[in-house]
Amino acid sequence: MTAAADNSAEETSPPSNVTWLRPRPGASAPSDAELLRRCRNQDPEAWQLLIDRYERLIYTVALRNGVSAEDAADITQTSFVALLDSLDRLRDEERLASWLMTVARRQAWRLRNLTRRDVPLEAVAEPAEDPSADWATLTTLHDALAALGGACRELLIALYFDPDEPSYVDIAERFGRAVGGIGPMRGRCLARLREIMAEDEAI
Amino acid sequence: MAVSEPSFRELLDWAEGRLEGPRYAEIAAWVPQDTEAAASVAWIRSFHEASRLMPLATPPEAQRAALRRAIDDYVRPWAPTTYTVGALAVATRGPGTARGTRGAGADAGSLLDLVFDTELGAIRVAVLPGDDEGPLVRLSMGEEAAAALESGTPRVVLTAGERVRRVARRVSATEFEAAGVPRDVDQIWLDHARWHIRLSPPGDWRG
Repeated sequence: MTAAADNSAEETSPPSNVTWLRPRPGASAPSDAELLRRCRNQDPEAWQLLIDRYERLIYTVALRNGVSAEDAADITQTSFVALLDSLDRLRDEERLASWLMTVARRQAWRLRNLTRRDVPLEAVAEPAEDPSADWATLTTLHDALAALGGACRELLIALYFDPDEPSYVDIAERFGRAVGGIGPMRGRCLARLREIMAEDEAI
Repeated sequence: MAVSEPSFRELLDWAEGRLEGPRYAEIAAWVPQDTEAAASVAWIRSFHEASRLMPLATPPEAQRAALRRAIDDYVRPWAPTTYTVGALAVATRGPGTARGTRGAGADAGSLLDLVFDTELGAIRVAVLPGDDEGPLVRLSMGEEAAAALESGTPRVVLTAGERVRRVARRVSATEFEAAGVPRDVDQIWLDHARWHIRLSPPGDWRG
């Protein structure tokens, strides 16, 4: 079942007292592979969509690796530049999320060691893992969310990864959906995410 | 009446405390006795735990806009149409200072030191050891030059032809740094509302 199919179940039209004023976020979102293909053709809009999709993830990874907010913003930029440099060499487009997370963490290490100019990056020991962050779990999870894609990914990010913990009302307004539709969609999306993660474990 | 098997959504609602009343109790009794239901709840709880490991922060709006402009620069062709050219005055390879021209603060570990004479005074470009992506390039200027640039937002842009390859990070009032500089970079630009200065390193400058 694809993310696009998720959008068609149950919510084909709003209740009579609700009017959708704008296209639902993620309703027809291109996959990472599609965006990367467009980026290779130097499509500026595709780059902006990738930034929209991964900016917060990269920024957060940088922050969690011990740099300031300003440096995290720099790392977000350099991580996208690294992607731009690596477009023709990317081996697994299905794991773009974890690739970007790894690059962001590497950039944070490099930034923290910029004062050690006589030490090649390869010789810089990795810092101790943040004890509160299971990196393998996080990279697997975000790759699965990327595979899920579309409105499902955006909904789960809004419901479960937003530190502001928006209400169903806030999310319904953001997504242009009826409040009563958020619960069922959340259930479908999580069920599909579980399937994706189970398929990935089976590989 | 027989209790109906809970759907995944009901298990989710139950695990998240969104169910009340008799159905809550029914599912509470069902889960321990149904292997699949218990596995679903366990997965839901592990997902909750994983999502709480790293809530996603949002960068400040100004930085978000700057990021989009910066990447747009990288993607679209970029080349100033009017500019002055810095004259290469000194080029010194290997560690140590450039003879006779450099003041304090030279990097003893630099692979190459270049000094350009420009309308803003001497501008130094140091190529320093970096990583497998490429060297670190540091551009340094005098305090008077830095003061002259304060009226705008100066950038140091490294290009290969019309393609932006790096936009240096400003590390102090007088210094910019770009890491992992690719081999194909052939020009360094000081880009400002009032000044556009091109610095052309020698052909083998990256070593």
